[in-house]
Amino acid sequence: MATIIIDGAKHEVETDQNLLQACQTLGLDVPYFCWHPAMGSVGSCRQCAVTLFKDAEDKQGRLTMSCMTPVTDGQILALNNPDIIKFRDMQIEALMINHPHDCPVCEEGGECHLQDMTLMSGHVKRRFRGPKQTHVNQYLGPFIGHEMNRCIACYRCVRYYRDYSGGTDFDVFASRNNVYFGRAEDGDLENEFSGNLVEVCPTGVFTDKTYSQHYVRKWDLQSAPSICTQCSLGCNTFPAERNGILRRITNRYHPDINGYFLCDRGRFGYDFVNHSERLTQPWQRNTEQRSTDKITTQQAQQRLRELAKSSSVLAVGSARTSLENNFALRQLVGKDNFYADCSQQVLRQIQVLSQCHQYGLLPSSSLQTLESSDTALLIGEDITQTAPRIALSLRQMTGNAGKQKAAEMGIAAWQDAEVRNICQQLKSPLHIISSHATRLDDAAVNTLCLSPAQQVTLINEIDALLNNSIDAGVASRQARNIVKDLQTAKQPILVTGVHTDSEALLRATIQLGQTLYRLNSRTGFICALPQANSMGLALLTATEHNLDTALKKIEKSPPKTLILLETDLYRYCSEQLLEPLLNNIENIVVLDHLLTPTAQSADLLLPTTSFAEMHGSWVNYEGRVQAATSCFPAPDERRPGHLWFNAETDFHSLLIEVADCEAQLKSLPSLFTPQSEGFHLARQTIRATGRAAVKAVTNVREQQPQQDPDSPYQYSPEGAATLPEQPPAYLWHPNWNSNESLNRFQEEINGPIRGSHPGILLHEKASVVPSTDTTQPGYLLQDSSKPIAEGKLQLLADYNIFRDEELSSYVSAIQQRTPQAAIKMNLQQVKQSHCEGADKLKIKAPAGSCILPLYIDDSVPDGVALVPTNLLQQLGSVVQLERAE
Amino acid sequence: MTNAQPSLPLTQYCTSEQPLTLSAYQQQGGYSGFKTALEQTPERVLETIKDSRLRGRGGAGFPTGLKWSFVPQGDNAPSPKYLVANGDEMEPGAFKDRYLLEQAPHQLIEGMLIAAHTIGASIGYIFLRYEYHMAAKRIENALQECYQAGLLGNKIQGSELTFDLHIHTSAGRYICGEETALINALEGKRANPRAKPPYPQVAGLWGKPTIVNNIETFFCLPGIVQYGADWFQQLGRHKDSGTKLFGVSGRVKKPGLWELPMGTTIREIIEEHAGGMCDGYQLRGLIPGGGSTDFLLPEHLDTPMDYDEIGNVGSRMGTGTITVLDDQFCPVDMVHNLVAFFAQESCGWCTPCRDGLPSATYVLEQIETGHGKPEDMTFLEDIVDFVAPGNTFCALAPGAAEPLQSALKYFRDDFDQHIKDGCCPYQAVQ
Repeated sequence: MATIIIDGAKHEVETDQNLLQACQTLGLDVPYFCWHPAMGSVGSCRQCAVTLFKDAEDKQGRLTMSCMTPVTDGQILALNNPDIIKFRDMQIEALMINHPHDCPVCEEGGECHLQDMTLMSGHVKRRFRGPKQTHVNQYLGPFIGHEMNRCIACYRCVRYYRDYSGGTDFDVFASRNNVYFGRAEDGDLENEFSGNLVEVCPTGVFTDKTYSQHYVRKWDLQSAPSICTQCSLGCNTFPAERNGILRRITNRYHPDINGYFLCDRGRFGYDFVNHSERLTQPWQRNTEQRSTDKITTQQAQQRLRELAKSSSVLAVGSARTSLENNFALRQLVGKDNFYADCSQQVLRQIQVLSQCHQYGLLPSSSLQTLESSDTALLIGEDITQTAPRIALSLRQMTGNAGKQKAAEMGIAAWQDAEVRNICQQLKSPLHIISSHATRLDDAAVNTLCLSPAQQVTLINEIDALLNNSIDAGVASRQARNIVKDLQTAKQPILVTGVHTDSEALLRATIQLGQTLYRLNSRTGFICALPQANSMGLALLTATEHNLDTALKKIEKSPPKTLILLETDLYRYCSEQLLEPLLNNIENIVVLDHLLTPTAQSADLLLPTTSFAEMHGSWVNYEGRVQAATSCFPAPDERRPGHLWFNAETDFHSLLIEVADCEAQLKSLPSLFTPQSEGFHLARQTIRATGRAAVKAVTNVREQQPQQDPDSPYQYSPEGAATLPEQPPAYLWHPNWNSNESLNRFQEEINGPIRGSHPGILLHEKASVVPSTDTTQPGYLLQDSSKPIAEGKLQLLADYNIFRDEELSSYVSAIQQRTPQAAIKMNLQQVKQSHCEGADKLKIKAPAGSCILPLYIDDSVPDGVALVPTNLLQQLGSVVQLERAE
Repeated sequence: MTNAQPSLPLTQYCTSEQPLTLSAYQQQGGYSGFKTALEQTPERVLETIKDSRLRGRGGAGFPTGLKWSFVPQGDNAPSPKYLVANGDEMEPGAFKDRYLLEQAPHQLIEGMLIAAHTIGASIGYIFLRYEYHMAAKRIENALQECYQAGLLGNKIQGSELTFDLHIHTSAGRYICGEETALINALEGKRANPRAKPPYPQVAGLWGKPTIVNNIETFFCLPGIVQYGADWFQQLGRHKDSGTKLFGVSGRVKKPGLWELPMGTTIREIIEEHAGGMCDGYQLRGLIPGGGSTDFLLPEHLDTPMDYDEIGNVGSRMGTGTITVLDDQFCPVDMVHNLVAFFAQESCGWCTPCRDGLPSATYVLEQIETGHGKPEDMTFLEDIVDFVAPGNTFCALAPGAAEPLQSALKYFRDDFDQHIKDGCCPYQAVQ
């Protein structure tokens, strides 16, 4: 700690930061543009000037950039000396010379950091009477709009895109007052994290195009603290709604997970909520009349109750909906009849993993831990596509060696440009073991593209080397290289996933993780899961109650009633397999948001709420239970699953029921605070306009806001903006209208949002001492996977961020970025399969067949081919290929 | 080989149209400074350079020996270390390095070898202004000769010294003359200056210790090593040591470039060497060291061209290449020309330079073309304050402000008259 004097007042501040950060943590207004809490300082914008005095005698002082000046004990500074005020005014005047002043038609207007800083700096009068510099805008793809004329050249975008997220197709071009931030030519921004440009840009150069489709001003948005449900990471978000339409998603800072940044799927994949095929009321199939009839909610509820009581019921829960919905379904049909919507392999992997965490054999690490690690081994997972935010963190991890080197030279980590100059090509080692080239390869010291069988062999070899159970002399060079880095690391981390569908690989990885953890207690371990609530669903389900066993059971003795909660079985099963099974079932009840292929076969179809319209908790990959608060009341007859299953039990009673039934979830109710008599929080901003007018076409009377007894938030502008114990529903602070206002809500810069709940960690940091027995040397150095029969090929998943997640695949912006489905294999393999020169291949499997264009990818190892994830799930992994004419 | 101590050590080999070949250069005593250095320990050479009080000839006048002493030495020092010759001479009015490079490329190489030996650099770059095609060709020839003769490469002259020297022709930006921007450009990055610390001496090119010196600085080294620090000091007429290339451009009788002792007065340079003003023209003012230095007036003519002396009268020595302003050339036009150049050359990194200089350029143009308004003077003064040292990221914009601020001080009436008359009075005369 250091004591510094600001405008005559003494303050205690941390020393490992700069003066700008210190002022912000103290809640003092210092305008800035180029500094960013995650990207540090570069001193380009010059807006954050303060006066720094040599000592108490010095009355003159020196103009200093606060973002570039480390805090030292005894500093004396003034924030608002006349010369500083003049300088800041000139600054804004200079920045505004070419700015179009188009705030009324700019989407950033009202939440623009440039507007805020202009006001804060007091600049009001334009003196320059020359012409403005103008630029041509670019098409940057379906996600982001580009309006270069608004640019004030703070360099945040290019630093974020290139330096932070590793993008290469965006840059700063030209020089002087003609600098241009964009691509070399029009085209989609390729980086999977491009959407953060919208938040990083302090003004309206980069705007959210999906938001533009249904734009309203920030002050007319209704928001709530929520969780992204598009992958297993549980990034924190603010969904924002007006008039029943979900308008956008923005980042909600969580220090241990997403920090300041989201992936593009999480940010732009929300529009399924507004989909034209969203189910709005219950439907019932009338077989006799061959019709589908709308029924009332009461009728539907009654019908569901009857069906649930039928002689045989089988229910399939969902890894993409909340714990509470799944729990309520399980309560309705009984544990014995409740199945998870994932394969036996996947469920078993998740449960093995969860046990390892439970018994302290393996740590369960956060992204924050990942970012502070110094060596990472990524195994068998194309993480950029499956749990994207991890990839961004892995990239930051590789920068730690440079930060360390800079620290040795007295340069702090926040001195971003200096650190990069010192670090140059130096990277903390990231080794990738994958089945094909990935988007992270440029950040890795080495990428090994191996078949799953070879991967298992290599992992076992690494494990054996670490255990000293084999001689280094007989080990492969690749294994030795990785082991060398793992052994010298102070804080190594393994990153993997269960998606690979190769159980042997995850088991080998877990084994390796345990070994490493035994050798080094600072070892980290991250295993991405297939869906947002895979872990939560696994908690509620017995291992043998998976989709494979469910289908077998249906085949053997079809139940009278099948209840499917928010899952589209056609994603996992081929039509050939599934249709006969479903045809044998008398009553199929489907609860979902959209008219999916599965929903189309329903006899009773019930509309459910999306994540944005209900309260619920999700368990992320690390076993972190997080609450998502409803952003807006569900319109029409949509209800959360749990209310369909049990209308009598309110949300909080249900939480208590969950806590009573599931020992691990005993503190679940603490995540949600019910509405209290006293203070409540407003979801809408105090400036929300036209509340009564919106619906005036049908009803001129003021509408009463819908009540929400289950949360401390009101569906109205009435109520407090913040409460000490509750996270805010939106970020807005006097003088700080943009998302930069976050700094007014954090406990300190890069600290959590005040009042926010970090989530309940099911696997608290290992309480058990790492076990010391070295087991299972049995399969060392052996190829553990089954050999593939002659003439056949093993299919692997070609994961894609914009294709694999079910709900976002209904979103038009995401669809525009979905790559064409193809089968990918290396040229040698194509020749071996006698398919040379073919444009398209026919893939034949017992479960069905399909035709895909052929794409040569020489990074794919021999003996395997990549196909889109869903196709792999539908066809199974062993197939035959032939030319398609 | 001659042992006579030269009085003009920088230009002693610059006698013919073609530069001396390696053998001719060696015959006339070239590379003996380097040989002397090789016989000494690096510490000893560094002491000599420090004792000589050589100051960097690029413009800032930082003591060369002191700069070198920041380079980490010893077994734990990072390696390789880099040595860079800054030949990106783009200062308006400066053409001294060009002359030296075209005339005596071997003297540059010799100077760099001495520096490499002293700081322990194993790789060197000559960073050359894009337009200096002839110099590039001649340097390339000289480099080739040196490699063939074993003066560059591994174990030079049987010593422990290994030094590879490359030439890099710049893509052509003024800012590349700033040493950290130069380093970025060498690395293939945008030529934006870097934040300091870390200084290049500690973490420069590719993050390794790097010394960047001006061409003329390297030219001083062989003599200093061969003839000693005292000799070099005595070459100067005033406080600063050595000789320097001084130039004069503008309406003088004999514009040109001369090697003269440090401390030669401006009057002597203009009146004796440049032959005084052209007939019919009076000296109105001058910028002593290139476009980024403050105007001086005829009353300053007796100031010695010494770093501190020039500083004391409110300008900078800069490159030592004087541009004179005569009584029939519009000072507003001259300042506009200069500021426009610097606005054009801004890298675009920091706001005051990127957006401040172009707005000053625009206003100067308005005044010059008769569209100025009285409040423009306040605007210009504000811009001068705005881009003051410390407010900007590097020295480009403060440099650009120097001729502007001094013109506002010395030629204020001219500005006012432009605004009052609504036209340029000089053009009316012409």
